[in-house]
Amino acid sequence: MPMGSPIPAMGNVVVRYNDVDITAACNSAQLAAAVEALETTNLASTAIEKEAGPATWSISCEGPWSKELDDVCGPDVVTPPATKRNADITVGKTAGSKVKYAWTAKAFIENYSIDASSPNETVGWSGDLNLSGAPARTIV
Amino acid sequence: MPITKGCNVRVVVDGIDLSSQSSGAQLAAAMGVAEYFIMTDCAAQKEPTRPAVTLAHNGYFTGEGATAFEEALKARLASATDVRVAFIILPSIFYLLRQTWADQMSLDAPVEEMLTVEGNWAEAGQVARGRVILGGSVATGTVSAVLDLGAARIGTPGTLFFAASGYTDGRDVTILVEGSANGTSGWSTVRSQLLADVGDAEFAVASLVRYLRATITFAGGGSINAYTGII
Repeated sequence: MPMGSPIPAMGNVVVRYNDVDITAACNSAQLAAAVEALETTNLASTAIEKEAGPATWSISCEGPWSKELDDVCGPDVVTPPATKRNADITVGKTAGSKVKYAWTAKAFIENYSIDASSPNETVGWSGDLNLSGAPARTIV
Repeated sequence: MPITKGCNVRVVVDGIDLSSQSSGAQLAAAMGVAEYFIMTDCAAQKEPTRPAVTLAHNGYFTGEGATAFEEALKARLASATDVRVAFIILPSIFYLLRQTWADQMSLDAPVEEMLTVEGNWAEAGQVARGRVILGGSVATGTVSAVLDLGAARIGTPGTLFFAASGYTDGRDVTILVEGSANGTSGWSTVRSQLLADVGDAEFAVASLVRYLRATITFAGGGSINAYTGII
């Protein structure tokens, strides 16, 4: 299997929530899928046995806070949306080799934090896009 | 997306502007999540429930006094009565925690450093998010910049939030909020709110026009810290 060269994060990641591009408000983003391990050890086992269980997905973001970012996240933090939002993250450099994970009407904001802990630094934010169900993975 | 510096953040507790005694604040909204599973999807399904908001608030010990940070925290530690805390990011956005209490405080005295106070405000009810109409240190008669609420807000109800903090010699403060359909003419009073020299209030507005502005009036010269916003 041919392997490509490593790709820098800057300029090669796009994060969107509720169809709004919030990439410029992020200086880091992490797509995480945590798979729960189901133990299937039985009396015939010679070691602990496990099967893959359900995965739980999230996208963690952080970066400089702005009103524009808050206009996207803030209302959903105060009042969780009745219908969950769209969210996606696209990673890659060249068209045709970018990977896009997308959730349609399955995302909401969790752990939204506005950090003004230092008067002489920029106000930062962090938050998780909590994602319900499995994503659609496409090459774009 | 433009950045905002931490020096543009204000924290107002029961009308007391503690910003000049504060070194930092962090608003954290942890959303409750209900997780469940369905047969047709091997990934976890999730629904948001309700946010739980806290405001970590750090500052300096400035001596005893009703408007001092340490006294503000101590007087409201585990308070059974509602405490209103505004976390304001000038010039645009504020979060209003209407039913808070101080749920922890510490007074730290490291040798060769400043005396510091660390606290935390816990929210019992739901937090509100609003737009700033006027905020910061203002002189008598200052008219704030015109705030465009956008076409979607026309005719909808809203809540005006007022806070004033500054002089402690008993001079009252009046904050006048006016509305206009076009932002340039035809200004009419939406609400005129009288506040004590340190105080805050909320007022429900049955119907909104698109543009709002605010004016501060108080006896005497100088300036006062005043904040007005629409939720």
